Amino acid sequence: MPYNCLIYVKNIAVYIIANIKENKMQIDVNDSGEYLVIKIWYERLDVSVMQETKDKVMKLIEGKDKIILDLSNINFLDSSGLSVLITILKHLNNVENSDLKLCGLNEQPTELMQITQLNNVFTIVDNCDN
Amino acid sequence: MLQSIQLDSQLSELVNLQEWLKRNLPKDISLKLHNNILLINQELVTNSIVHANSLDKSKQVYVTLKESADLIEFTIVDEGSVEIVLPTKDEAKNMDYLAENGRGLKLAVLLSDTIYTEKSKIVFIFKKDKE
Repeated sequence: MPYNCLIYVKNIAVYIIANIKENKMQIDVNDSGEYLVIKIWYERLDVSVMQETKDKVMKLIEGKDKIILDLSNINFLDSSGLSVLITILKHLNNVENSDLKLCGLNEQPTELMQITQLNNVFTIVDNCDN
Repeated sequence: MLQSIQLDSQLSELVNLQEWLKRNLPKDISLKLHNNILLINQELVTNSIVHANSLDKSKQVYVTLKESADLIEFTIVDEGSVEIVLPTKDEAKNMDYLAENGRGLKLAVLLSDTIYTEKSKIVFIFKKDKE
């Protein structure tokens, strides 16, 4: 294979890997309504992404009081993932007139919320569209 | 049936753990038990990687799965020197889930049918149910 082709293939591989890494940590924000809607796109909210997620979300909600966290893509939540949610909740508890809603919880995150009884602490709504 | 996996002490290995579990867990257990097993393994291996092995990549964590007619038994061994102290079932039931730390071991005590430790080894057992 010519050298130029090898470089081209290598560049494509680097581009794909960079995109995979980027997608892994993608968080979208919609600030058009009364609530700031934050959607976490990755499938696992666990210890491996805990700190980065916490840092990103805390920065996004700075100065905001009404937040919806869209967790509909998350299929696996562990105790470190819970810690991210608890940190956000504790922060908003210190903000006047604040409100935090979690929406779109899949089966495993819902079970974990029930086991830990955090379903009584967080406001959980099924449908993120409303 | 006996299966095992060896993991380096880095958090990226948790994905390999989960894939290995999904391949090797019996297919006829309920989704709830399946999810609990994934969660408890994640919590305890995280504990081994982060606290016992201090994220030292040269240190290993070994996970073994033993399946019998009625039980699914796991053993996790790490290279840490500190003996794991498990909370009691009552402590686990009355846990403060809003606390910053300590949820992982309490969940393990709460969700497994039997759990015990021997130095740097932790054994936890689930009774099989049916889908």
